[in-house]
Amino acid sequence: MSAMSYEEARELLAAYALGALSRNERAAVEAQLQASAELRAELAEHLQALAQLTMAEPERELPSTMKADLLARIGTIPAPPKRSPLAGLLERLMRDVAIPRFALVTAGLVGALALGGLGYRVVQLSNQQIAQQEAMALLADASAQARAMRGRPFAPNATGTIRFKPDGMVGLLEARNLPVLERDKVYQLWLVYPDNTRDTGALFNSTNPDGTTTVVVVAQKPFSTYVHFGISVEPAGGMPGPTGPGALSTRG
Amino acid sequence: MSQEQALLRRIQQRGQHPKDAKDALAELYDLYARRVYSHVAMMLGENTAAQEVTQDTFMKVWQRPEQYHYDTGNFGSWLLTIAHRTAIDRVRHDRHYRDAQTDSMDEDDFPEIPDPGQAHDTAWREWLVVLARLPNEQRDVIVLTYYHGLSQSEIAAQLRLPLGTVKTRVRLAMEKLREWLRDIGQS
Repeated sequence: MSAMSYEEARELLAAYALGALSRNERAAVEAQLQASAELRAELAEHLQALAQLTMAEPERELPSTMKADLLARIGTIPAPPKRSPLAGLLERLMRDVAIPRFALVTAGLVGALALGGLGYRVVQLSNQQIAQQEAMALLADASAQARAMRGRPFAPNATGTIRFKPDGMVGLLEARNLPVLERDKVYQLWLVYPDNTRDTGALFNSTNPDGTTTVVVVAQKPFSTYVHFGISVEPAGGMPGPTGPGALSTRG
Repeated sequence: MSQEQALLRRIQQRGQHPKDAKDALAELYDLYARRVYSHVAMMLGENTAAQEVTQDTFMKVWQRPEQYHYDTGNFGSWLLTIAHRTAIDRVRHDRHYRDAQTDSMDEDDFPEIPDPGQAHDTAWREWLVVLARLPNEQRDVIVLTYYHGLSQSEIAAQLRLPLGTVKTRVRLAMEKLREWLRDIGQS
């Protein structure tokens, strides 16, 4: 969708507050909201009106199991791993691979690990650990796809590769020569749909001393859904849409 | 720092202090779950979908607590906005897989505004009176968008109206609601 003007965004603010816009329209309005304090103030008035309507709605009794179900989705605190040769390998992998701050997995899982002649041992892993395992396995998976990324104006000498399986939702980003960012900035990896809307796949700001970066990417949809991948520089914590300069992209 | 901001800060530390973060989310749930679920159930009915959407709302807070600083307004408004949008996504997703009975909406598809005289809650009755004051065509688009999750384009297609007409009705309806809200506040 082409860029939206300030006046166009203002005309759509009421509909935005109601949730009555398409995904493209919503993204275009949000781009204007980020740039205009006036629009944000007007939106706040719309939201305040709707919040008062919502607050006036009759309250209902909560289903008795809902709280327990929610806390179970968050998962339990992972138990300390038992010492084993494989645990040592996992620790080295986890130490060397950046943990993205934007995690999408929702429930704790149990992973079964084969220990060669020792048979199987069940180790309770956190969601992040499982995502890291899946990501590292892509390096050795012949069926995994790899898309090359080229440097953009912010990082013209940077290169990158994003690996994934088309039906998977965990990927691995490897990049070189990304500049070190100041503490109030992050690199934000965008997973782009055919209609140019985006999901966030990772937020990171760490690079290794040798200039390499390795990041686990967690997608909201299977990777076959996305057509492009890009990285821009954003304020710490990320943004709903790209606002800063591009650093890497799979676009030609 | 407000109570909610303190709880969000504890949730942000979930990597270092997972149990405390989980306790903080549980406290937020105790403060707001009933209001969130009540609104979501208005849109989806009191069923499994409403429970899932309510949980999804708190999961989004768990996953991105730092987003509250980006949005304007108080925490309750922010949380209800998340709940509302999540419910709309669910409404649209479920509608996509429902068999279409007809190509157009008929009278049964228009949600009825409850009779204000039957509302027992004062605040809700006041709002029903406000909604009833809107011209029919403006009230319908508010209810269709806010409680039934239709986009402006979908309303235009279903009602066979120009998209611009629908946009105008939405904008005028919200202007009136905001104006009457100010009047209620002042009285």
